Parts: sequence; structure tokens; C-alpha cells
Amino acid sequence: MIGLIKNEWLKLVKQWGTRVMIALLVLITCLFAGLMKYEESHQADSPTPGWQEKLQAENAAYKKELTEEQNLTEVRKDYLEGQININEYRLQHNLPVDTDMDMQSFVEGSSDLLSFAGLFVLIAAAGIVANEHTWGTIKLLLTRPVSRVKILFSKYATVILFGLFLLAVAFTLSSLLGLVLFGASGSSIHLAYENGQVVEQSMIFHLLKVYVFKFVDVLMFATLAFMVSAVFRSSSLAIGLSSFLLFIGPTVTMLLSMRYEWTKYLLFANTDLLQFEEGRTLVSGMTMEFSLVVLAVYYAVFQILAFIVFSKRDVAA
Amino acid sequence: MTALVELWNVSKVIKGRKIIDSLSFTVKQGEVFGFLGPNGAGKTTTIRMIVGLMKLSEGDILINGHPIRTGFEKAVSQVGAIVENPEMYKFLTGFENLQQYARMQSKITKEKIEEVIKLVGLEDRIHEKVKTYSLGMRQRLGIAQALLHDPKVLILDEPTNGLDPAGIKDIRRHIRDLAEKKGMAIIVSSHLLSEMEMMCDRIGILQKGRLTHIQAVHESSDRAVDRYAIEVNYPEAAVKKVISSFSYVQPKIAGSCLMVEAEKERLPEVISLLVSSHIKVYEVKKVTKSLEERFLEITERQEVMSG
Repeated sequence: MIGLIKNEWLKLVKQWGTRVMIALLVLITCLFAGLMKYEESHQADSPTPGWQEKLQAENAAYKKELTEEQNLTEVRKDYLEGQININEYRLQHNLPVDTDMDMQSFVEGSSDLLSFAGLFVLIAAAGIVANEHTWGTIKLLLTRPVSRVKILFSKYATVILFGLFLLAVAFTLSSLLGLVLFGASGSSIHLAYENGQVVEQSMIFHLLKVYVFKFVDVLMFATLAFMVSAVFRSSSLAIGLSSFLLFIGPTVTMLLSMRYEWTKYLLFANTDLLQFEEGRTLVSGMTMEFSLVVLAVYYAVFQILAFIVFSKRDVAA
Repeated sequence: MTALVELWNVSKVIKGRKIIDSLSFTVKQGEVFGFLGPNGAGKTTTIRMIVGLMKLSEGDILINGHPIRTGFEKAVSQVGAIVENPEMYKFLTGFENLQQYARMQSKITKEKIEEVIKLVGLEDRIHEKVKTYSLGMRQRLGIAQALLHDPKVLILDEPTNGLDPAGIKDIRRHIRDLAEKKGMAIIVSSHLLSEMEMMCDRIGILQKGRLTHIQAVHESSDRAVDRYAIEVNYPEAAVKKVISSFSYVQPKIAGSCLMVEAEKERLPEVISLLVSSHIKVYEVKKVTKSLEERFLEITERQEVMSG
């Protein structure tokens, strides 16, 4: 099995296209860092005077929304309460909001760049089965004394490894750039509201959580592309369909979700797990547990389809 | 000699159409079996079923006794194959390609890889990317990959397709060597009869998914009756003379020649008859029917029967 995964990994990274993708990710992260540095040099020094007044104003607005708004979702209500409590905690303990750019906030900001990593993993997943058919090498691959299930599994494992690799590259690179350009001076504490209490969390823990949640998003779309690749044997269809869904899906789902409640069963309503952290769920009544179950069902369907079709297929020219 | 490949009533149905219709044959150790038929007769489909790329609709295939349906991994581990063109990963070197296949099977050492590279004569270019290879070199790399795990059965689909005469000769030599020296059972498919005649021991003719004929390539030499072409100055007169005395030799005219079918011992009698009738005899030669003629005879007969 290790040998099979090694094979797939070598085939993936020895391709010119894969190296370009890795280089692009590095380049984009560097550009983003440069841009942030430029922005920072044009900003006023902080802590901003009067941050207490600002937080109090914020809380007043939150409280107003909490009491006057009729159709607040549970998640939104929790979120508002959390924010109010966190702000009060800040006021009590004299913890100003750190608006200064530092290593941690840079790493958090550059987590948005994971969309690129996601796109690259999607492209790799779309090609990993379909390319063997295009190249004709599938005939040599499947006439070995290795079951087709094992071969497909090694390919999927390689996609996941590639995803983790890009994630690690992005995380390490943005940490390094953040450290060099902005320093590690900022507060290393992240305030979270859990079970009616404000808790201090380590920043690293918070950042890892953000990256892991974003990785779930990447994983779902990569699995979708992998399934299309294995079922339809066409990498262009797999890339086209899944990136179309990646870009259009969330928007369409959001539009639909304003009128129909069933949209909460759509894949795109659930891929963004940060929506629960940030109190902006698409459809009321959705919870983290609900989303995880929906995602698991989609994931299982994708995998079952891919494995059944791949192992039963007659390989013709 | 043990049978290494056995097909038992193998059928393949695709979209309700029977592409392959109850095919049965065996290939023995050390034998080169040619699979001949026009395009679309089902050669490639049969080969794809033997190597496990396609599932069987009916029947079973045994490789060295292991059924492909229930013991795929055991059966296929005895088979090396090139199905159609030897497609390789072009962005990898020849060596890296072979390493890929070596990792998919246990017990393939680096020495073994070096050995097959030497066998096909690719030592000089093996560390270059495959995209720089000529078709002949890719074909040789294809054979190297098929021999990597010391298979007992080798399957080559249209192995000489697109090769130049030197390349074809090269492949032919490899095939004969592997059968004779290593005792492998080899299945070769082609639509070129002349090609098959030069490398096969037996040829199976496939038409519309059915195996219509299996024929040994070299006719047995102790055959009683041979055909002879006798070049004479007056073929018409010669035919009349011979018919009157030896009608059973079935004399016919072919250009300036008189064609007869006779046992060797009868030939002097025919010649002395011609000489005594004042017909000049310039040349007498034995005619062996080429495989091509036999193939056409068989296929024509089939067409007459079906038409």
C-alpha cells in the first residue's frame, strides 16, 4: 500500500502542472504578505485611543438587535450574546482589541488564501484517475496483481496528502512571513464564548481550528472532483463541474435559502463550518452537528459511487 | 507441455450484442499463439478479458490454473502484457516507469530491473524522459515492463503496429527467444498474416467473435501429396497428355506452368510422360501453400457458407 501511494505521489509531483501550482501558492502568499505590509505602513498607530467607547457602542448595537429583531436564528442569538460577553470581558480586564497586524492576525487573514489551495487540490483530484485514461496508462496500471479498490484508494489517499501538503505549505509560509514582517508582538490570546462563559484560548489553537475547518471545505470539493474523475474519466469535466459548483454553488444556495428551507440539505450550505463560529448560518435551525451529518452523507455517496464505478468498469480504448 | 492459458466458453455481451461468442482454446508452455482476424472481430476484447481489463459475461479464463474471475490477483501475477500501444508516463524517465511497476509487485529487485533493461537493450537511454523516446524504444520499454515480474504468460496486442522493419524484426526475435528459451506461453494478435506466419506456432482465426479455425503454421513435412509447378513450352498440350494418363494428379494451367498434385514418387512418371510426348520441361518446383492462401481459403469458404 505504501508503495502504491508512493507511486501516485511521484506521478503527481513530477508533473509540470503540479509544480506550477505549488509555486503559485507560494507566490500568492508572498504577494498577500507584501500587500498587508504596505497597508500597515499607512495605518495609524494603535492601540486606538477610545477603544473602550468603541466596544461599548458595539455592545449597545448588539443589544438592540437582540431585543428588537423578531426572527433571530438561534446561532445568531448565541453569537450576539457571545460578542457582548467577550466585549465586556475585554473592558473588565483591560484587553484592547488588537487591530495591529501581527503574526497571528496575518496567519488568520491568509487563511482566505486557502481557496487557492482548495482549487489546486481540486485540479489534482480531477486529474488523478481521468489522466490515466487519457494517457492510456490505465491499461498497465490495472493489469497488475493489485485490486482496483486498492489502486483507487491509493489515489484518493494521495489527493488528501497533497491537500495536507498545500495546507502545511500555506500555514508554515504565512507563519514565517508573519513573523518576519509583522513580528510576534501581538496578544497570543483568543477570546471565545463557550457554554455561557468567556474563555481565553491560545491563538495557535484558534488558528489551527480555522485551518482545519477550511480544510473540510477543500476536502469535500476535492472528493467531488475525484468522484467525477473516476466515474466520467474526464479531467476537464471534473475540473469544470466541480469548480463551477465551488464558485456558483454557495451563491445560488444563499439565494435559494432566503425562500426555501430545504436548501440546508444542499452540500454548499454545509461546507463552511466557520458559519457556526461566526454566527451567520444560512438557514435557521442549522447546527454544527447537522452540517457534519449532511457532509458525511455526501462524502459517503461520492466515495461509494467512485469505488463501485471504478471497480466494475470495463476498460476499453 | 502444460497449458498455461485456458479459455472455457468465454463470451462477452456489450449492450445486448454478443461481441465474443463462446471462445475456447488453450496455449501451452513455450508456444507462440497468434490471434488473427479482421479489425472488429474481437481480438482486443478477448485480450482485455485475459488481462482483467474487461469482465467476462460467461465462461472462465484460467492462467496457470488460476481462474481470473475468482483469483484475479493470482492469475494476473503470472501475466505480462502490452495492450495496444505501450503507453508510459511521458514525464517520467524509462527507469522511473519501471520502478512504478516494480513497486506494485513484491520481490522485484533493482537487479531485476537492470536485467530487463539490458534484455531489451535500453541501457543508454533508460534515464531519459519517455517523451524523448521513439516508438520502437517505447515498444521495447513496454516489453521490459511486461517481463519485470518473470511472468509465465506474455500477451502482446498488435506488437508490431507502427514499427519500422528493423523494429519489427527486433520484436519478432524477442518473441521467439522468450518462447524457446524461457518457455513462456505467448499470445500475439495481429491482422497481418505474413507477420504472424513468421513468429507463431499456431494461429487461431477469429471472425465476428467466433474462433473459426485453429491452424499450425508449419505444415507437417511428411505430408503425402505435394503441389508441383512444371514449366513447359506447351502447357495446353501437357495438360491433355497428363489428364489422359494420370487424371488423379489434377493438372491445371498456371501461366506457362503445369500444376500437379502428386506424391513425390509419382513425379518422375509425369515428367517422363511429358518428355516422351516431346514437350520440353524447363523447371520443376515444389509449391508450398502460403499461410495467406490457406487463410483466404478458409475465410472465403466461410463467406460462401454464410452467403
